Amino acid sequence: MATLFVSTLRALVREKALFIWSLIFPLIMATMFMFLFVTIDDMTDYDPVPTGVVADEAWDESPFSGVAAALGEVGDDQLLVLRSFADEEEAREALIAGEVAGVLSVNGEGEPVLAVAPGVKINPTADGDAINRSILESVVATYGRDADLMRAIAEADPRAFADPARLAEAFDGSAVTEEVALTHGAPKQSVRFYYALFAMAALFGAQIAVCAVCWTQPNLSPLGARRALGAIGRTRTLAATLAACWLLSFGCLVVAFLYTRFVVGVDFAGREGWCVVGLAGAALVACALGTALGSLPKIDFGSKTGILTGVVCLLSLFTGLYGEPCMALADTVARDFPLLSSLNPAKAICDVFYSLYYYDGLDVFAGNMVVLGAFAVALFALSALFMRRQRYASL
Amino acid sequence: MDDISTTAPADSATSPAPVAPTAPTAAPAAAADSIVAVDNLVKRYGDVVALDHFNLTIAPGEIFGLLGPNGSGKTTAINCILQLLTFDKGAIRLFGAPMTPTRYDLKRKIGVVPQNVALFDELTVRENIDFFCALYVDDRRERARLVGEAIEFVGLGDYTGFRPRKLSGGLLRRLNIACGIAHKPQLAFFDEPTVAVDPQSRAAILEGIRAMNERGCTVVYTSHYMEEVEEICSRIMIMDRGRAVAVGTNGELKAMVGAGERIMVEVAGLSPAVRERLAALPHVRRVTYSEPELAVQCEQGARNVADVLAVLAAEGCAPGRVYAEPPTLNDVFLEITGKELRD
Repeated sequence: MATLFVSTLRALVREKALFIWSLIFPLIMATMFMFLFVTIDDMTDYDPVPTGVVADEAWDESPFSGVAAALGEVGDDQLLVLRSFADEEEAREALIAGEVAGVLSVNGEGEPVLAVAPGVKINPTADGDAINRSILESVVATYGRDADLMRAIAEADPRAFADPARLAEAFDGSAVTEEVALTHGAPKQSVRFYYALFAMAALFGAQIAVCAVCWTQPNLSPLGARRALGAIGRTRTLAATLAACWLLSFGCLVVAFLYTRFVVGVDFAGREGWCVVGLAGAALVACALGTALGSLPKIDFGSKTGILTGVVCLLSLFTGLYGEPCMALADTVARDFPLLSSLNPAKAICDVFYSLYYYDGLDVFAGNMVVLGAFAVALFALSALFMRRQRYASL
Repeated sequence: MDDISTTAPADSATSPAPVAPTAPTAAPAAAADSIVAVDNLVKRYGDVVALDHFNLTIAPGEIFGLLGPNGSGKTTAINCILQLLTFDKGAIRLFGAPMTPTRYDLKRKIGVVPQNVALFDELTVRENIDFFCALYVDDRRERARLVGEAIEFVGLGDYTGFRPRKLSGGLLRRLNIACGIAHKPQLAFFDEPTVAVDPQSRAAILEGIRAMNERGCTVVYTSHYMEEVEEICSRIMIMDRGRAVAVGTNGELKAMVGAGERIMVEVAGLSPAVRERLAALPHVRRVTYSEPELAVQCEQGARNVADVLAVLAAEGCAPGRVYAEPPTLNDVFLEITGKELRD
């Protein structure tokens, strides 16, 4: 059986055409994505908020002007871009014209005031204006809260101002607030394309199994007929053959993964090891898909390859691989037809990567691996229906 | 080509009655002692009967020839015997035991050289032989020895690192044979192993089969090349339309139909009247003429050549080269089925 495995693996490795879709394709696509998506993640980065300032006497005398100036200093953590106006009317015109997201001023009591354009509303699918307004509101509110705190300290324990460390501790906020990340990895638009690419590449790896299964079936090739006359049972023959197919599919995916991780620089949220486990599951599904297709009777290898290409392209459509409209379509299908979406092995492979990237724990990942296993079992069972015969009415 | 046949019933009063299909002669070994025993095998492809109550008994140590035109059922018979094809009726025993698809103990003793070359294009000569040998032999060391012997046996020592696509048709056939017999089977099936093979390779293949047989391997050899079958087979079955129409040794088959030699004469401008006179000779079975070659198929007799030449001389024809060929299996086939083996 070891000889069957090694010989099959050797024969498959030397069948160069198999590597076009299984290996060359994902490498080329990953490289193309690298150049195409060089700016896509930057688009989701935060931009400083253009903010108008009514630079009158009250502003100059208010400590808030110093805070605003600090927030407007050019640097990596610049929050605001300040633009000074001589009076409120001038600032208001700029606000209505959309030149600034909001206008900061100081009222007669020395308190900061935020003016935003009328009709702007904050909603859950926040657009840029809403986010900017939210930021400005937060700046004003935080300043007000800290000013109240200062006043309270001054009244209760004026000596505290003599100890800068205590003051710093009071305003640090870490004792009472906690930064919580909603996702394990920082959300990035581009990773979705790479995950969809892995799903497509994995399923294209099914071609390896299609080829190998054709080599084992008497009704599909003279080689299959010759092998069926040997003194080794079909189960052992298939086990050795499919093990070789799986290993080769897995190997191709790992090479593509390493390239994507270390050359293209795609972020896998520090879970590269688990990603490789996921690739092993994806290769198993590919192997099962290839076995099912390969075992179809009365269809030659070329036609089966064509069918596989069509099926994989169709399934990949619903992973969003082909761009924004397809992503919207994929999301719509996933939301409105969850059962249909769950029948897509390409989507299941993508979900394995999502679960590693976005979820803190591994429970969801484990669940998705079980789904991949279920796909593999179902496809192998389908194959068994076609391959159950040991003798044929005709060859 | 003009053909005046005396085998057709209405052609001539001088011709003998058509030879009825002869019942296969008894096998030299009883079925119980046989290495292959096929009983009443029927195989249909839809309405077409590929094997029609086919019987076959082969004794250990024979080189048994299955001879018949393309489509006569030779390969179908082998595929049924090897359990690759289902069949509608009949029983098959190999080595005295019923053959089933999972009788791996029996399969281990069998070698098969299929009609279609069945190899891995991606593996070298040595790797291919090793792969197929591994279908029968687990032990690596033993296999290495067997593979080496098989390579030597078929004369591919200079090509062990070559891939099949680099080999000529003859070498490819030799590799196909090596893959089928490397494990030293006790029973080997050769299905048209010399198709599209050059004469040198063909001679090497036939010599190799003889050598295998001398070492104790029983051989079943199918071909539509009667010369090959005549040359190497100890017993021959002639098949037509899925039926065994005759079985026996080469001599027995020829004696069965009483065919004598074929007289070949080179003569120009032979008229139909002369050909009719020749056909009317009492010992002539068939006359064909394709200028300038006249062929006269005779029954066994002592004066055949003299009588034919006498007719030609009486008609004023000047013959050129004259020679006689002994009867062939094609003549036997022709007598039994009324058609040429290669029709």
